[in-house]
Amino acid sequence: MTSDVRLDSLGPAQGRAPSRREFLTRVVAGALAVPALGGVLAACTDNGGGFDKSSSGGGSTGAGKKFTGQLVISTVINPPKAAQQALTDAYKKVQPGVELVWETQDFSGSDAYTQFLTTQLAAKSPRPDFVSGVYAKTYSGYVDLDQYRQTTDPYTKQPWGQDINFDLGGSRNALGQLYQASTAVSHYNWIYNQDMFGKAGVQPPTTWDEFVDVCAKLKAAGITPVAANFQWIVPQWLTEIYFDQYHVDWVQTVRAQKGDWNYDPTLDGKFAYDPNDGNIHAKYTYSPQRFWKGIKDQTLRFDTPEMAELVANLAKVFPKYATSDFFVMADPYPSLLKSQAAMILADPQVTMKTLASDFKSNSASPFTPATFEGPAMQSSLVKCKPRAIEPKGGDYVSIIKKDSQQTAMAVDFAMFWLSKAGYQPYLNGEIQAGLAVGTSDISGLTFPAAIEQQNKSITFVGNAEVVYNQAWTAGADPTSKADLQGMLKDVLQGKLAPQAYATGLQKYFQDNFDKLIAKLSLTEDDIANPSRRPSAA
Amino acid sequence: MGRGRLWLLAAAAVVVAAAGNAGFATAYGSGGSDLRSARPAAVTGVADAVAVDPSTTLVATLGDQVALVRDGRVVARQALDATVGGVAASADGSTYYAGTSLGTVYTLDGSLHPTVALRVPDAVAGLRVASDGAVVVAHGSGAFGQNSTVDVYPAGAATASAVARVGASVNGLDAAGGTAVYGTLAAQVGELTLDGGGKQAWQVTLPQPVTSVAAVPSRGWVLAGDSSGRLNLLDDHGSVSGSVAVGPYPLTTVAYDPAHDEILTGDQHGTLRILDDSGRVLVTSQLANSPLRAIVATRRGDYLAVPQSGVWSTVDTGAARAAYRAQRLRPWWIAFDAVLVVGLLVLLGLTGRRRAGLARTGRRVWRNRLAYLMVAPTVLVVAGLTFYPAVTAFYYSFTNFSLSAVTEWVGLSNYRTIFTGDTYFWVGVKNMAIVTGFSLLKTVTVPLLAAELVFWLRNAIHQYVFRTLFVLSAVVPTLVITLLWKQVFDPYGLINSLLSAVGLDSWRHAWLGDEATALWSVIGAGFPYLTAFPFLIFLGGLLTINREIYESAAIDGAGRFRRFVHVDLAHLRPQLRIVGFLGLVGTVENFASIFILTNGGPGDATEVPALEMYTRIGSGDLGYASAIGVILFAVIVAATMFILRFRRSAMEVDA
Repeated sequence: MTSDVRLDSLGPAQGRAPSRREFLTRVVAGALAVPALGGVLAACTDNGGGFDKSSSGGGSTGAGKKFTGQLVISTVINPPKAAQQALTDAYKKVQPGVELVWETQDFSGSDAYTQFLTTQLAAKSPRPDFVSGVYAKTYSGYVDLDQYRQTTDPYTKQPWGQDINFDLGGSRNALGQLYQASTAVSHYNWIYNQDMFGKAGVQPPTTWDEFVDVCAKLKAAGITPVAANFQWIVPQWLTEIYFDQYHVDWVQTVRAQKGDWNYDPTLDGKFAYDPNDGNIHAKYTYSPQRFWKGIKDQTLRFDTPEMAELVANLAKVFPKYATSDFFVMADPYPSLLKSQAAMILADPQVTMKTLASDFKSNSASPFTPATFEGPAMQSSLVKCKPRAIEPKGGDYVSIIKKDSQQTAMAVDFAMFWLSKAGYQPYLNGEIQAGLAVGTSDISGLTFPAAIEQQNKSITFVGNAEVVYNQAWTAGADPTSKADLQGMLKDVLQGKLAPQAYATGLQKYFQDNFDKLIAKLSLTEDDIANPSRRPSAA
Repeated sequence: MGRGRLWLLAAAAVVVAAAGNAGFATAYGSGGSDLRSARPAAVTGVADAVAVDPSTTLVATLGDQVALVRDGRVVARQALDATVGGVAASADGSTYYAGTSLGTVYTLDGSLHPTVALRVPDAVAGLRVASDGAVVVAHGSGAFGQNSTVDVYPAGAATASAVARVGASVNGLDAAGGTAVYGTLAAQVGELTLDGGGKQAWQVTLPQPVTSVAAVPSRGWVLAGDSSGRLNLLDDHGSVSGSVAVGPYPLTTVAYDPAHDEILTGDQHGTLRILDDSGRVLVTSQLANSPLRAIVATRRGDYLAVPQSGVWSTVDTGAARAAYRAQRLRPWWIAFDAVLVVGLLVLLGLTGRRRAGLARTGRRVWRNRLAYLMVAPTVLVVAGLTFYPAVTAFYYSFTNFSLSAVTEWVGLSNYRTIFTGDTYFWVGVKNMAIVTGFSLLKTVTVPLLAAELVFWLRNAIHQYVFRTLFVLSAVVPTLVITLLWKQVFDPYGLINSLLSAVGLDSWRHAWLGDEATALWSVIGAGFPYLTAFPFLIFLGGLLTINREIYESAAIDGAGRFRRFVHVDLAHLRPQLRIVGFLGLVGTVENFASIFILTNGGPGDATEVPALEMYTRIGSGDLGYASAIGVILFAVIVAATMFILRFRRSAMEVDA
């Protein structure tokens, strides 16, 4: 009986047999459902459904072309409305068919912009055309601005590379691609509290040994000598400056050679090695493949007396003479402002203005600030005088590669904006809004007399911020960066002897070589054949 | 339905299933024969290859060598003065050419002995020989080759008859039927008329940089593969007839098979695709794990696919359409079986009580359809904005999703790296366990004691005042509290100032800057841990306890402590669960306070997995970050299940 009940229950609702009409309806529905489902599956699995006639080319591009479309600007700086409007109006006169959309905002900090930018770039088709790529350096879809340096700017009738100094203001990624231009450049040096120096009876140092001595005397006088952080001041700026002093000869290995895919006869063909030439790093084409090849075949080594001496020198000051929160400090400026430390490494143009303003608003007790250039490490192993950190400032501009029509339009606007034609009205708008502007990378601009005077007072000595000077502390990804900075921390804290550190660094690069180059999207074939364009470039 | 009819239906279903599957299997198998056969690589590290004759291929290596491969064997090999930029062979196969990055173009004899034929001013980027013997050389210098030209040298001449300035690095070059075509990094495609001495016939710009070209004079076509994986079809006047997305990777080589009217493409990822002349992809086959560098015709009428490294493959293009037809059946086959399975499940599901239950539910839903309709938008929004991203993150955790590469499925690779190779993750897990333990303690103890205090105050006004005071802290944002505590821990902050004030200068410390104290300082931040939400939950719980229980406890002689343990705590179990659960989730997911206080430092002393996830997102390592997120999700789910089990036992005890 039980089975009978169960079998009956297999029937339709209420135990009623389906009518002929119901039965036929279900059969027809089933018959329709199968092809429909199949069609859906077929559509899902099919790719390459034939030539699409509508996607026919990007058309020609070139100087003087009139564009139509929209360009979205989402750079890190939110320019004053007056500057935005001045630039928009000026471009409208030459390209009336292009709409500029300013999607800039006041971000709470670089991390906030980094998160914003990463989210934008993770999309298959990012919305912005202009971003500040330094906050997402690993993105592979930026326009390499090197491609357009020699292109005639239709708005100034000269090569774009003469409108803006890419050598000073350009940023290169680990593959050596010029992914970002900036509109200003600074020169950083040490800013110190003259009153504290006076109290300790010391003078600004010119050599590293003097620097150590000054620190010792300041400390003896009860003054914390240095405020610095272990985020970018020591493991980036100082390590770059002093690695450069000991390893400038690596230029001979890392520069593109004749026959290389990126060898530029007009630049590399004229290269002459002069270690004391401040601008040496702007006078050759960096080859990431030759750098990593040098690491692999150990032509370039870290387990050297130079490396040991360099970190031993750094350890004489850091963390010994730094504020006690050196390893977690974020911003050293408040320590200088509140007279809690005697010196910081920073942009003097900005810092002096900020100090004056803060003193005026009674944020801290005033003191007399002054500056001195980075002290030189000196020994028989040193190969050149120190260069400085001369970082990019102003607007950071990277162009996102899209189809060639859109990219050509974006490049056209970039040529306008980043040349006198567009930057002068933009600059005037900034000045009108009361924004402080410093030295510009763009040629031919007219500044107010006060700013002009201030710009003239800056002496550039050459920038140590080049890709290969960073490799030993920046690694290739967050993990290797943490590993390398962990090792540096250990040697600075005295947990590791300088020579053991140098040996460990060499071993790290050897043991992790494959992982490191993979993170940079380089392959073994790319490294073995530096004359060929890397597959990811 | 009677039993006999049911059995008949079942038997019919089995027959249909068996017959259908057999039919699909037969049809699929007939077209599914492998259209490629692999052969060991004669040369590894291939940069370019051209057919010399149907059995011989001239190969350029990534380095400075050229090799002659006949029937799969290297019969000659020669090193030149620099990296080989291109190789070519005359139409009759009698003369070979190779050009180098130093600008030398060699003629090579049968044993590849080189003789200098031409010199160009910069690196050779491509080389082809036209049917009349003219040598077409693309050359330029610099990363973008703005000085690039395509030169035509009539047979035997050392001077170019024509020089076409193309203005960008040449990535693809081909010559056939009296024309030469080129494609550039600046997305240009152009054609030179060789009959006219090499005059530039046209040049157009495509949407993306061109990575490979093929001239097909028999169809009046120029085929151009680009860096986005599209194949563009141009006519011989330079008009773009259309384009098709072939795959996600740059197309490194393109060829045309006139015998079957098919187009063959190879990409950066080692994938071969065969398309019919309408651009429909017939076959996709992964041949190697490196870029395909050339597809050349062979003796038997089939094609040889040459990857940069890995095995070479012979491809039978004649079998492509049959394979395509078989592939087209696949979705139908899947659909057929899916319908059968769904039908079976429905049949099984609609039995007895289940059927009745389902019908009841259906009727209930229908009766309240308006309510469901009104709730639907909210459900959809929640599903779209909460569940969809979570499911997406789960998917991405199995990919290499980043800002620098095409997203690929990498299986458990991210998880493997996290569990076996990421020391920072495990340091973070240890720190997270410590922080979570103390956080739970902080979240439960102080608010509970405060709630007890307020609850037992006899004066209602005092009760009101204290309750308000304790809750008032909730209006201060957590961020502000964290920043205040950063100041408290500062070397010149409150703690060190107090220590100095009481003469304990030697105890002054960099609380956040010292590895020994950083984590404990992070845990200690927020004192006295009187957070409003748990306080209100506990106070609310206490207010719901029946006063008679307290009276009974008093009669039984219970003191304050016993009353707290046996009455209050026993009745606050649901509240403890909620507070514990929310505290746990909040601590595991939270990294903001650590980020502000120490950014995970000094070293890795305060690193936690959520902070690592945040850092990875910032560096564009999104697949890896997703995997960390999924692990944290699993930890929370596991802990929640533990709490739910705790609840069940509590209820059992109560029962």
